Amino acid sequence: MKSFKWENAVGVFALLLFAVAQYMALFTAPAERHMSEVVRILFVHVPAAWIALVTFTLAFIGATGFLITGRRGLDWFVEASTEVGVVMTTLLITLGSLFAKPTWNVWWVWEPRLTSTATMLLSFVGILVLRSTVRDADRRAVFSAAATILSFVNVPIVYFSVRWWVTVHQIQSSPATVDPDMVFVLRANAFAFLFIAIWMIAKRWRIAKMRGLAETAPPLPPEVTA
Amino acid sequence: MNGIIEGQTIFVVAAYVVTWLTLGGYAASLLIRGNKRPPEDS
Amino acid sequence: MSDSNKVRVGLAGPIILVVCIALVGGALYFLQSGMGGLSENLVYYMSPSQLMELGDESDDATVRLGGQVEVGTVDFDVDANLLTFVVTDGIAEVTVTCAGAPPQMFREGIGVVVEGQLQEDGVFHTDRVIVKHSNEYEAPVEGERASDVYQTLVMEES
Repeated sequence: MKSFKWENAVGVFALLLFAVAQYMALFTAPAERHMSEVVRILFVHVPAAWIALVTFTLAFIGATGFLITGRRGLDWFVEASTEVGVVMTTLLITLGSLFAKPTWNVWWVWEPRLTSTATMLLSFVGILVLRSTVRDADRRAVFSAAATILSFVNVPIVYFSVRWWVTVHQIQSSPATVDPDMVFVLRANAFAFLFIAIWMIAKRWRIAKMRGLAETAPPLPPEVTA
Repeated sequence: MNGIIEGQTIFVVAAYVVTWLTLGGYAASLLIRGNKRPPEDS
Repeated sequence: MSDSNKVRVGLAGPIILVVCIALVGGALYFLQSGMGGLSENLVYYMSPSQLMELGDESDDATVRLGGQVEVGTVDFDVDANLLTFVVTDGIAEVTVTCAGAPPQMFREGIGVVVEGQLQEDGVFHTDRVIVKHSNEYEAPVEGERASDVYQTLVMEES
């Protein structure tokens, strides 16, 4: 009998919310005046963006906590949220490209918002690579916490890029600039993505914990292993 | 030349398929990796 | 195992933390203050005024020009497959020609970024029109279904 894990309840809830939110995004949300049906990409592109930035912020908080307390649990949390953030950012960029082609008329442009997002992805991929190359658990934890805090600089840069610089990407929308029916569907999908990300981070944290404990545990005496 | 997109629903289909495959694929990898228990944990 | 769930970071942990946070904060302060002229150098496209200021310097160099499509200036010659329109920033105006049909989102008053050259006749030649969408998303106006409008347009052109 496996013990109850809280994240499984979150996971079931996330899946139900996701199903409803995706249905609304595809079928009940209105088309857009100029984008027509293509606007529906907004309901996955924007949640992926928000949650990508949230997960990297969580990694930053975890890294900060680790450098103060040295708790391994926080190091595992950095590993978990960084990996989930990398998945979300990869999804974000792919969806952005699929959104840009029919609306902007290009798959990709090297303008500041897109370039800074690509840089953010690369820097956090770099942290995962760093973690896989440093063999010593203690050094790996300290190095990756420092690298995570440095990489976090990309998160505000991505967010503010559309305000600081001349970009092709539009500035952030607000409820004032988006049809109320679309705002509701957007929020529903954003919460679904958020709960999915929480479930993913929790699951990934348990994997990191399992590996971490196996790594740091002293070798068992031969008669016990048998 | 009215500035309204006609058709192009293939991009919407692609976006949702990519979303489901990415999230579903990663979720599956988490479940698979999470079930590989080290010997001392069994 | 007294330290199995903790790494002994000692004083090094907080020191690394402070140094990293200082670097991040400093970088962000530098960027948002516009120091170092980064916002001037990191210009993805020029406005019509900026292009005009360059004058002869920009001749035949490939540059990006961004602005609004001036209302009432769009002309698409179906036979010649040539699109002509005026890009404005409210101060200066540049006439742009593009071989080929416009992107679907292209319309009067929308923002565009075009890549090409300002030629000696004062016309900007481009083969790449990027539509710059605003942050506004609205439902279609009653009685204005996208497919209906498009149908009429196709009939007009053919």
